[in-house]
Amino acid sequence: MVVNKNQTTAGKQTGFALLKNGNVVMGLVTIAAFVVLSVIIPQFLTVGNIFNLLVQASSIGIPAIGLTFIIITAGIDLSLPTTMAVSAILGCAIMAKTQSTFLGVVSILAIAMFIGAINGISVSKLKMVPMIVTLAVSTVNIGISNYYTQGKSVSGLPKSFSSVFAGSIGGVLPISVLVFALVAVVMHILLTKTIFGRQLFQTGVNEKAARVNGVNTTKIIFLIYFIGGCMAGINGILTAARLNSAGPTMGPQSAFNNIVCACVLGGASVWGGKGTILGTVFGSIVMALITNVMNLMNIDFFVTYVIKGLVIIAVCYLDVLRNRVKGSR
Amino acid sequence: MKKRWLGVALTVTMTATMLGAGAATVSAAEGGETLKIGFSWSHKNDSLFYSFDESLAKVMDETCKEHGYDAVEWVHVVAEDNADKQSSDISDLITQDCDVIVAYAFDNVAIASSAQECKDAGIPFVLYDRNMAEDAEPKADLFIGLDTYNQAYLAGKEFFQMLKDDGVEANSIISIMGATNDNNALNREQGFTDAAKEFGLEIKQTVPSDWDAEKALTGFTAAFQANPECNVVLIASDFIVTAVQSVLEANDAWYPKGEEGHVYICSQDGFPTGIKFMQDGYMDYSGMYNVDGMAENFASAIYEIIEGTYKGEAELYSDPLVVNAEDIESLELWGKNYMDEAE
Amino acid sequence: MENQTSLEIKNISKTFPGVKALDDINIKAHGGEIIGLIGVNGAGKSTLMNILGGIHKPSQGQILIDGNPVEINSPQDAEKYGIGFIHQEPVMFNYMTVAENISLSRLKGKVNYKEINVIAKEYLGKMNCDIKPTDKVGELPIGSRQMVEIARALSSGGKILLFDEPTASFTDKEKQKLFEVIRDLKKQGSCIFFISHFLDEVEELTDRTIVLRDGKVVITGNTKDITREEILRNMIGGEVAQVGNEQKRTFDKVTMKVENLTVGKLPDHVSFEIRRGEVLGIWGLMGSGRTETLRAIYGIDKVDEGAVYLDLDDGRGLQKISFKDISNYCGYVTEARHDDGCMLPWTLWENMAAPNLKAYKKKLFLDYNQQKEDSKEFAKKLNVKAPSVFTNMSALSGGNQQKVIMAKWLMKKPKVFLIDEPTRGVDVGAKAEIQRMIRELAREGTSCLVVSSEIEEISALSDRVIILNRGVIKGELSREEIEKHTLMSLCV
Repeated sequence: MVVNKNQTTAGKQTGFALLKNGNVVMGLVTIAAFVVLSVIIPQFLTVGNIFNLLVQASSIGIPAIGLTFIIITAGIDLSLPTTMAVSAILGCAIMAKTQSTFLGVVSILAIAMFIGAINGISVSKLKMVPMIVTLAVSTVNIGISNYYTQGKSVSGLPKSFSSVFAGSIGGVLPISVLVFALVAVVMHILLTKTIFGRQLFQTGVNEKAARVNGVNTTKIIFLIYFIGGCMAGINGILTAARLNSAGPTMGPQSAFNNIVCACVLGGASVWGGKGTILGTVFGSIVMALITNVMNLMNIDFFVTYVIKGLVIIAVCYLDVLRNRVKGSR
Repeated sequence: MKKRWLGVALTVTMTATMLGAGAATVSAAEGGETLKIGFSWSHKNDSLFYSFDESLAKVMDETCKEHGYDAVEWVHVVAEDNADKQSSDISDLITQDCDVIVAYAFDNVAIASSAQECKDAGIPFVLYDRNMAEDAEPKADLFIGLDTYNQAYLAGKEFFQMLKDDGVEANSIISIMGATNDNNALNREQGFTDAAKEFGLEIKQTVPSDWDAEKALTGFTAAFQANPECNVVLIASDFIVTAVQSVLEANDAWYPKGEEGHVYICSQDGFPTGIKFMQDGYMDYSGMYNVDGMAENFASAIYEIIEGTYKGEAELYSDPLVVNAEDIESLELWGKNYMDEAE
Repeated sequence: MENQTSLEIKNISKTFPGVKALDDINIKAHGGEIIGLIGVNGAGKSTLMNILGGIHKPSQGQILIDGNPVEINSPQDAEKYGIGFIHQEPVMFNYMTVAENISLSRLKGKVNYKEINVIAKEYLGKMNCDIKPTDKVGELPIGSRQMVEIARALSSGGKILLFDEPTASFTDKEKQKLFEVIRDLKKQGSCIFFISHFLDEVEELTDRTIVLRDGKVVITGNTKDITREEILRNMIGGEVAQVGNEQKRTFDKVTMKVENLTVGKLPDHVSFEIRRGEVLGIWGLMGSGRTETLRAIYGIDKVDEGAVYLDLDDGRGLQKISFKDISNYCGYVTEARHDDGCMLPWTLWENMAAPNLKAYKKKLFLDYNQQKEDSKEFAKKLNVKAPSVFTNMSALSGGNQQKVIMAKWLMKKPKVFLIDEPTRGVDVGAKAEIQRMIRELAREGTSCLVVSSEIEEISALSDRVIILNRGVIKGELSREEIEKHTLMSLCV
């Protein structure tokens, strides 16, 4: 039996052991890819393009950070994109009527949190299957979005909304990217340095044993779906600000593919027990990168679809390879 | 071992494929000035869109030399029916230093933010076929559209004229319209309504379809049940006619012209499906897209827009081609080019 | 007796990557004898049996059956050579009948049900077994299923029978029945290998005893000629401290009082008290509600009725504690450690710190360094054999895993320790250590509530024993009164 001295899930790896870490290797390869791309595509490494890439990454990454918490328990939240859309729509409607950016932002967050709480109670207390419940909630979201808007996006938002939430610091750093970074830092700390984080991992690795250890697994499971809702809400605010409107097409169900792919690419496993914020951020950037590069290189969009599909398949296979050890030795 | 090398192999393959595919598509401009046009599509798997693409490419190729360009380079990006993605796609086009950016807007409100972005970057912004919402700002520098009101009105007039000439009495006219948030759909509905009025007719029931065949089917089923004597159906686009076919067949009312029980149908757009139905006699009239006309409008204005010397109308509309079964052979119809796929 | 079969295991060695599981094993056996095979986990017993059973191929050496060298490359080959394997958990098709299971290899094409029923009856009869050939295996108790497995082995001509720890979950009665069958089989000429942890069973049943350690045969001889101490010493390679023989102790205050604890029928209005430093054993048959009682006390299962009182050493005496807070004051070593006892993919230090995270909260965040330090200390204290606290839990042997689990609760300094089957699946060496640990804990003042199915263990550990039967306390015995007969009689 091989004993891996440097293997921990909460501690730090040091020295050359780092190079053995598959994740680090992937990170290095991606940096190399960045370098190569910047040579081949002249406009790639411009400030404008990199920030555009990061803005798109934030749109995938912020919900993906929420999903990371959930995926650690082998749960799933299919409603993230549609929650973003419906909370943005209803919140913007309030914002348009009251012309108060503050009220609008608060509403968007509140509605998204509410939906997250519904998911949380259904899974944690009512013991419903996460995939089914969140899919159902997602369908309701779509229904409400379409019914309320009748297909026409909500507009007429106060100017302060987009100038604040879609503006940039110093004219260069987009707010979306700043928020993405802040959220990542806060969530990373929450996941790795707090009791909540450790208890979450315990719940994900072995729920029964976690309960024996005194973890209130019901509360933990509720909280992660609630966090998912918060993330969807934050994303809703930022996206609505960028588009200066809110419509049901903001969050198509298909956006979920990018989100879950970002998580798994970053090291989380759909079987639970694993996940890092840094990995998810990395995964989001890669997913956004694919699209960005396809566009910049004027690649036929069929090819993009195929490549994205292949990436998803490869990522799923990677997940199986990494985690197939469930009990088998 | 396997796992980390797979990750490496994955990234390397991705990069290699992208480079390979990119190398194949990027055309090097040799000497002279190339006109770089970026086109942001809302989606692309639509024969009408391919037709737009082809027609524009052709007309721009023909006209670029006289305006001092050696070639035209098109950069196409496709959003997957996602407003956020379209916004990001347009940002990518701006990064690519296009001379002008054209967009088939997915969300007629959200597209305004992209218009703003283009304005800030100093790149002319053109909307194709779908215009911005009334109250959205800033407006695009140019809008190329089909006069959708006329599309229905003119087609409708000839259609109702034919009915009058043939001595057919119109019972319970049902109209299946597009999406209520789409200006085009609203215009067409209005066009039909006005045309009917001129013949003393009015639309008995309107079915909103949201541009979705399923909705059209369920909506029309209900409408036809309520009005079984209906013998005139107005539809907002050809793809809806298959829904109409299902309902009429189920109610034993699907007969081609000349046979007893024929229901008269007037449609729009001119998709290959529509043309086929017209050839077979089930559909009577259609107000088709004047794809070439639109492309010509585009070419007539675009060069000056880029120079900044354009003084014409910000919105250019083409008239439709009103077509009935007899005209199909003789006319240049965009849909005919895609007929094989329609089978 | 017909032609006696003979089996010779000659110079057999087996190497797995990094580990030499068997080292030059030589064993001669013949029909008509029962050989006991003893060894700690990892000594090589299973590997040897698996080689005979066709699951592994030896790296070196030969197997001779009836004087002829044979190659056993698959379980089918083993069956062909007359080797039958009877597992601890019988491997059966539960939805099929007894007859079908016995004649599994004959179920090809069109099945002649009459014929297989006759065959079944014949072999079951050889064992004096009254199971009907048409019974569905899934409905039979585990002892009967073993009979079916034996019958299957016999019906395919099994002359050499390998019994792998067959009595692990048996009652006394079932065990005696099995022994009768085995003795009968011996009389009929089978050569029988009996692998067991239970030294008294080996003493009772076998003619010869072979002890394996680290892949080598360390002792072999007639069972009646070898003492138990000799066996133990050879199994572990060192002296083993004996548990037991303690003077009676007196206890003062009550640390925990359980009142009318009820969860459905298991437990059913259970009440008892436990004093400081006392080890209270809970005894009963499978299904009597022992584990359920522990789970109810600990607060994992929702109780219908009842309460638990703890003395928190704060001068206020016994206080009623709500069930969701009990885990703050009690430790709970569960019955099935792989199921809910620990986080297998995690390292040792992570597991040890897991229930006690609140203690490591430094301002807003967790202090991981302190966790690692403390776990190093406790791993040492409990003599956990592992390369470091950064080793994965899954790499440890059962005994060491159990020690880690005990350590994690000890780090929390509980008032009461609930322990369910402390040495299940643990090798003899670690077993003694763990039992010693429990006695020591008790001496230091922690009350221990111990559930065990092993009479020796319960009698060695407990100061008092309560007996559960169908969720109800049927009796209580003090240390001196603990005796096999009384324990069993109070159970039924």
